[in-house]
Amino acid sequence: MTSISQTTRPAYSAASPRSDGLSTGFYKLLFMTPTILVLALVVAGPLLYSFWLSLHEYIITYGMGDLVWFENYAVMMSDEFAGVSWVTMKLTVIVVVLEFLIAFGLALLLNQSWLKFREIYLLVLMLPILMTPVAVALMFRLMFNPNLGIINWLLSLVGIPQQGWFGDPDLALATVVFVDIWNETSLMLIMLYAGLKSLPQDPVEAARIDGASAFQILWHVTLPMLKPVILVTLLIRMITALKSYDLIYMLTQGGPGKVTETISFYAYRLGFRFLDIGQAAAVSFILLAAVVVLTVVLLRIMREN
Amino acid sequence: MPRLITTRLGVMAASLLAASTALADPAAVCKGKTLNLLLETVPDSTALIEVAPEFEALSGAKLNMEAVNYSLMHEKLVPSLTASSGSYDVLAVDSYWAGEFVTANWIQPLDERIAADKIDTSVYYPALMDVNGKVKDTTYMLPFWQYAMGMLYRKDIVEDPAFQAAYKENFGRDWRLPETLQEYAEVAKWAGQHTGKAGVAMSGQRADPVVMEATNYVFSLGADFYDRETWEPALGSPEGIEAVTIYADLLANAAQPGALGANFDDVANTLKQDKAVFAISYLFLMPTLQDPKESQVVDKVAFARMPGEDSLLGAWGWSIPTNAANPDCSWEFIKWVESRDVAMKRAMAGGQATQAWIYDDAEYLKLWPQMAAVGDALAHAKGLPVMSRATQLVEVFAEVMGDVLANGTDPATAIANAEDKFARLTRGDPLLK
Amino acid sequence: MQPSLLLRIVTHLILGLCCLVVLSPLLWVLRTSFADKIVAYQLPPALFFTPTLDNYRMILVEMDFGTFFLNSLIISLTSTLLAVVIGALAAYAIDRYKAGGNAMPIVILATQMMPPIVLVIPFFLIFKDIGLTDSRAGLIVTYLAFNLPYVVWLMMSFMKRVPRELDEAALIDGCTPMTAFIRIIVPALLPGIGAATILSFVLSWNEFLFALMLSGNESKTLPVAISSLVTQQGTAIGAVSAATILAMLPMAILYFAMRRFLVSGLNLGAVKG
Repeated sequence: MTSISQTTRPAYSAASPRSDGLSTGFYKLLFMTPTILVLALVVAGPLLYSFWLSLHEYIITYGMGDLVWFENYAVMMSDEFAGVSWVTMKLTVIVVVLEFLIAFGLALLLNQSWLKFREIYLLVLMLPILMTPVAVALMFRLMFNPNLGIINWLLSLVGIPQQGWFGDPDLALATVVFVDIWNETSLMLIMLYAGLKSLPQDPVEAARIDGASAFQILWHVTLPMLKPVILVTLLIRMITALKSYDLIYMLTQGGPGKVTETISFYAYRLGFRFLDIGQAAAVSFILLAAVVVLTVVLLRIMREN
Repeated sequence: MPRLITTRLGVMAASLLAASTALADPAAVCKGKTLNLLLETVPDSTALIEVAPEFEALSGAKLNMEAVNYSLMHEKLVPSLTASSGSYDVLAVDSYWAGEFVTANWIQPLDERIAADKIDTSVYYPALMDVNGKVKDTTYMLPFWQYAMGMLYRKDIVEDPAFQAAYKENFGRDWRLPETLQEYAEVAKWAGQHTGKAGVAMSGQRADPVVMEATNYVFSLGADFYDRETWEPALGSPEGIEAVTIYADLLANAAQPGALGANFDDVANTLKQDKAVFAISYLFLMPTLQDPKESQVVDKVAFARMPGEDSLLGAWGWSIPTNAANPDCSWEFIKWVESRDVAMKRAMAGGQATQAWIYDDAEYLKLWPQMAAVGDALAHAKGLPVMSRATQLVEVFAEVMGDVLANGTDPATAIANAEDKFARLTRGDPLLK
Repeated sequence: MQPSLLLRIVTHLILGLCCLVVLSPLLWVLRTSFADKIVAYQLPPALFFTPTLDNYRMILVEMDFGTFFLNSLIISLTSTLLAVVIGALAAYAIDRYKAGGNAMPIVILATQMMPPIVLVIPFFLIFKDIGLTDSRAGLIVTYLAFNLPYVVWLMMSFMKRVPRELDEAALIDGCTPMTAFIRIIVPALLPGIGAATILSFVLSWNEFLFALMLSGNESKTLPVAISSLVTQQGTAIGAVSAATILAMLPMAILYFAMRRFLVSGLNLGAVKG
């Protein structure tokens, strides 16, 4: 099973004519056109326009100002930007890593052939994904409410003092992380579980017959085969985590102080509160560039391994 | 509540229209048009939706009212107002957006229309016209919802003889409502310890919650964000620093647990669940504090004006966007919705009326007795500065408060550090020249 | 093969614990949906209270949540269906034919790496001009474009698991790439299709910012409707809970997708090459 290799086989060569007389090039075009068209028509315009905005001094209240080229990008040097970048990095890394570990562990457990009640477990674990972050945030604000919420009350029963949760500068980020994990892990679980389900069982069986331990099978057989799915799951989750602002918006508004202010929320504040759309666009493109670099690096590392 | 209004012009309506010559005016400019409105989800909007068919009947226009969460209205309006053709025909404008909307040329002046139709704007509380009607002597809005703020307190607790005796023992004087901010802070802290509840319910969450609360402290001591003549930053005055210091002290030592992350709703619920004695908040919370489905303190809370000099005043106002499709019809709607009858109906439904005469109406006061305090509250209130970047002022002040409350920065330093940001907000502002 | 009893107990304990962590907040939501505000915030919590249907009445009768639910369902289903079909084709072309070269996948994904906040204003202005604001079609197109990159990437990763020998053989036997795709790839890709369907549906179902900006009364979706329960006079927490519970109904659809594509593993025979 070495199909991960990227070598092009003769059967796919562009030159060979098909029975229907149409070239491979035609099919490539046929398959790709809808995707390219959708992205070009819907996203490309706004993207380019935003980039154009990022090169201008543009506070919406005062109207479009001068072309200032990359002046807005100087925000990168500010302490404020360093602060929100640090929060973003902490939040993203913690959330993505923890959610991946939990989701992968659960997916492995759920994939045991002998497991009973599998569908019940799966159904329950899937439940949070249909709760919109707006509702999730409101519900957790209710439960984590420091003096009216059930969580502090339950803790008080076992003698743990009241916590400030979202209102405690030392705890706010951790509380946001908890809510995010509760809400988002399921989606990763489903992608990873689907990945495990799609794996051919032969190599696993072969390894087992050879006397490999469960851990050896996981490490030497399952993981390498699952690598593409793991990579994509991590990538998608990383991107959605970097972009998400609705949970922060509803839970903490980036506070207390700025301990939960991420780049996305910062861009939101610049754009919709300060109405400084040029600056907001510049921040967004800085993030875009960082994510592209991160993605390429991640892909390189995965490929080399 | 957001509800799609698609009431059609019925036969009844048509005959009503024909019968009344006085009402021919709205029909002339509105017939067959659709008016799109963006409203906030408040009781007033519900009341409006109920009486909306009346307007549809007399004008022949269709009303399409969309109601959204208040904190999202600004987000939703900005793209719509920058478009060449608008999504909305009538806007509800929050008081601190007024400067921004005028500078950006998003809303139309109303003076000519007011003069032509002889609309009497003196029915409104003058304070409301100042914060949410006029910008630089031009009228852009008619106020429809007042946001008077002041002191909410547990009257059952403070009127208890035992409490008053303890108060006298502690402070050496007979019980009285606090008259200055310093006294408020002292009494609130002591009342908290005495009752075992939170002395004050506070909302320290970022942006609006902390700013709308702490600004009362600032105005109470007579401080301000800017010198309103020179527009130089002024929060660094001794009074400004003291106001922030008192706020931080109360939040740390007398507020409910987790107050730093609390918003308006948390303050209201803390009061409703009998967990706090005082709060500086909105008068419009009173109706919900009287609702037995929400509140354990029905008839136990009273409202008084903010101790000290002034409280913060906010309001919503009706306006016509510059890119409205049918501004004449929009104006007919505003006239109708602010007419005596409709204004009264909205007030009776729990709206926060802006026309002074309503608060003298016996029937209204019978239904909403707590609202009698509005006159006193409005007499000692001022708005945020009317400037193009008032929305940003809120953000910058929130950053200062966050720095003090979360990072423990000394108020004087935090204010000094933000001075530059404050100064930048007024620079080049056409409204301040 | 049955593993040791201890291993089985530990497995069930872990899964059970995770289910508990997931379920307890949801049960609290369910409880709150039958409570009025005074009960919702009461401590110690009242275990027995007279349940009220007021919250459900409020959102269904007064606020017309049925319409918003239908909007959400139509928008999410349509955009998901389109994204999965279009995305699977593109994934096939990229993985097997290197369509667009090496940079293509990154370019596709890069369209989704921007914080959406900045894109929303240009989106609004363009959609306004072509009349797509306040329409379901506008949101369908938006979500299609947003979810397509994820779907393509997810499908590509699953496609790598489908042995090339399978479709190569089909091509040599005279299949066109299209028939090879339909007959060979799709059946082997079912778990991937299931995962992509769920991913795309969930992202569309929960999306908030663009739904807020681009929708009006005609096309308001559930997240926007739920957010409008947060009012200046307080959050109608009971109604939020009721709406949240109702918003989870499409779980039935997802469960079906999951069963068909993920649980039964009906494709395994095809993968064995």
